Amino acid sequence: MIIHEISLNLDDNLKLIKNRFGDSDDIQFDYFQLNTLNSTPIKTMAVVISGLADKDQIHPSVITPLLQHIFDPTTSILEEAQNQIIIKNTTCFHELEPCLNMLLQGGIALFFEGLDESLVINAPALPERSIEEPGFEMSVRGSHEGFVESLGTNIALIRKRIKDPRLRFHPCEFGSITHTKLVIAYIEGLTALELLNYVLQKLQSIELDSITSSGEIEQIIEDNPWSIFSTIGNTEKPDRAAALLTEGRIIILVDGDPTALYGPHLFIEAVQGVEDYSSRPYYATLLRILRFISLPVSVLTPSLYISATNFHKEMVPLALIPSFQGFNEKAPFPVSFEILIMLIGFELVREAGIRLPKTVGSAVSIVGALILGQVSVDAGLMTPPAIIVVAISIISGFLLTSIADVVSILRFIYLLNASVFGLFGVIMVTLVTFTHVVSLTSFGVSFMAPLVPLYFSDWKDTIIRMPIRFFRKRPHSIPVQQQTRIKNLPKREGHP
Amino acid sequence: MSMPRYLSQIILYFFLTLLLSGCWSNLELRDAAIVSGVGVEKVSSQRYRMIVEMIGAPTGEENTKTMSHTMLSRVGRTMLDIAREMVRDMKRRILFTHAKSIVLSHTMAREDLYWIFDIWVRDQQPQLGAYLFVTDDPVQDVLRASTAYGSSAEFPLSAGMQNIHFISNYTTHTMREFLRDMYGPVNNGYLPMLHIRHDLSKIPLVEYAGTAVIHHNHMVEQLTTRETQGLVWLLGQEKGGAIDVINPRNHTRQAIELTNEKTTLQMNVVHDHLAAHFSLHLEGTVAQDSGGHNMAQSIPTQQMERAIATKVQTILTDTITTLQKKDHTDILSIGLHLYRTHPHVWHQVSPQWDDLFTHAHITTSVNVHIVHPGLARYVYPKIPLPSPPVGFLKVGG
Repeated sequence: MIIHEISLNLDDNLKLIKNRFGDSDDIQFDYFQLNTLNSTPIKTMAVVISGLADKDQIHPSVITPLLQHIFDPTTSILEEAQNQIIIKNTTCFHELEPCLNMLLQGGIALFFEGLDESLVINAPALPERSIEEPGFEMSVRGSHEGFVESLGTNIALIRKRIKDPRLRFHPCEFGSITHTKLVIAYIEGLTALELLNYVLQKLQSIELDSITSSGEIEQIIEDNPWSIFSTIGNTEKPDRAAALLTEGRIIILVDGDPTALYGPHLFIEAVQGVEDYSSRPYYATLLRILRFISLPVSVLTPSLYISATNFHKEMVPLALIPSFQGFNEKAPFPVSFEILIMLIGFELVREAGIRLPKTVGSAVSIVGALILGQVSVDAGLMTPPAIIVVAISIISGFLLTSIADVVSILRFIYLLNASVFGLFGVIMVTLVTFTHVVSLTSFGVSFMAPLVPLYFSDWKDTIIRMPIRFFRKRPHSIPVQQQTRIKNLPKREGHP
Repeated sequence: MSMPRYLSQIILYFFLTLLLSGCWSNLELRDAAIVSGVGVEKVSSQRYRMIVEMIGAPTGEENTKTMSHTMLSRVGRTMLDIAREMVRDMKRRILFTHAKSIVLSHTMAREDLYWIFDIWVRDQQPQLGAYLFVTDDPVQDVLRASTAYGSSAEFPLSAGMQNIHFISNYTTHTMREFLRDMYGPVNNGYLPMLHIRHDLSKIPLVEYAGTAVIHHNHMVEQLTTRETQGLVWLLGQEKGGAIDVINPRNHTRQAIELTNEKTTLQMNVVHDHLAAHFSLHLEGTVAQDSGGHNMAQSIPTQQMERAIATKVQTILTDTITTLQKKDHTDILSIGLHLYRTHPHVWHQVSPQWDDLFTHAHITTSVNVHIVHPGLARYVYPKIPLPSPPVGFLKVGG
């Protein structure tokens, strides 16, 4: 990239800027003159990108103070200007390109006739939405705040929950076109150094044109990009992000994306809910057990049904044979095809329900219930047992929203194998899946911890959730520099 | 591992699995006929009739659905022939995976028991938890009558075997246990029997009654219900049931419900002479005592125990006598016990075991223990109530 020096002539600078930005309508040029002691005014040009800089700050905080001051030409004009301008976040540049970069981040650039330096005032007023609860991580108890697209706001949301000077936000920038800002958050003295170095090394090796979302960063830096399992977690809740930081994990915030990435991410977190720690342990444990059971139910039910009815009829109880056979005789399609069509139909309805506007979203549920349920049975296209099997599978999958994509894919893989190989195929896929999953890592940490490798002391917060007073040490699954989490707790009456 | 090698391995494993596994076993339910009951009878020399009862789809209107049962019969020389020919009738493949009841005619049991087992042992259909029965009545009538009241798909004969344990005068022998006996060292076994009788409405009912004694793959005789009871006790298979006696003192009926049984066998083979002793210990609670005794006291209890022990002893003796003198068949597991404890002795005496058993001196001893007299200690109003005290408030006019 060619670097241009700022010219002494305002017109030359104007030409250079127009050369870079073309005829863009949002680049505004304001001209005014600074008064001097020797009555020779200094022509000044203010450049701002409308929509990015705070328009309400330009005149009262920048231009008006400058117009009201009388400059001494024998002293540094820039220093005097910096003293007069109310906003003190200013930078001087000799080159044009960094000056324009600051402009693109909401700065106001001042060019002075006869000076080869520009003064940029940082006054961003980027449009952003208000803080609201994230749609996919709703909770009954606990904070209802969610991250927004503004990186500064997200940092502030975390900072207000961890009021410790050891909380660090390491900045990075990616994308030669988008210049997207990214921040790595960690707690110094707590987060393991090897973990931090691992992440930094991964990020520093990225060179590309554009980054528009955290999902792209996730797919670039994950340890196993070919796996269907995501080894980098994500959250839109600042309270959860703060809790993860205190466990010694690393958070990655991307400007323009409300989704924060975190790692190491463990598979067992799929059964852990958003508000598990806000609720009492008994109900949280019950919900975790339900989620844990719902994973095999959701993935295996269609394939086991096909295996039992097509390959291993001895598995079917005698009492069910007449009804299954009766329905099967009327159905025009093989069982595997029925289940496949139902699952595809459900995926279509689910995707449509997410994308459709709320005003017509209710129609999706009507279509889904009627077409996929009642009408298809009445028309003789589908059999009730197939619908029940798919319904059980889908409803169980609703409990696992964080791995809904994995469950959907696995369901189809199991279905295909069960249709061809029967129960043998189901067992084969299970073995392959287990073998694959135990080999995955997340930022170098085993993805199946604390199951594999076995950290038994961490099991008090896996499928069951013991009371918080048992969490005296941080989980062994995540490497940290400081293990102790709870030093002292109030004693119960009558207990030592 | 590099990506191309990883992919090539996945493809290779997939095709290997496709070739080696049984994807050709895929059979839709609509293309299969599920057999719930099988009957076999001998038609003539080397010709057999097999009758199968298939589970059908529900028929009728929504509120009046009944299970349809289809019965097919075919004659042939081998099981395989008959089953294959049946496909021409049913137009679908016959599966015996759910066949839990197999009824054999007594002719079949007497002459050609292995005819039916050989193919099934090799082909592993039906399941080994199925029940074998022998009947003197026509097999087709037995199969038809057993589902007369069946409104559900559960085949009553096999389901009934689960419920009949508590009465203890019937043997609930599964195919697995029977095959173990038949392929065991003694090569003798027993099978439960079925009979048709008619209820008050003249509707035929299939009754569990009796035991067929199988000697070297042939049925030789059958035991009555009473002798079957003795067999169950001697084999230690008592799981419940009741024993009733007539009290000799006052000729009233008394009964106990058995809750526990322990049978021990001691045997001795000396110079081709076999001596065996069965010790039977029975425990139970008083189920009925129409004599009005106070069972909380020890004397009436002991009298009842002695009476029951005497009755049990009589039944055991009758059973043993029938098996020794009439059937000449050791189904009391004495030979099996010898085989397990003294195999070298067994190998010496096994060629003449039947003879040894027939002339063996088999004794029994019975000990009955009443654990609990029940909730009622004595029965009103046979024992007079005490007179009310003087000055007791009179009620009524």
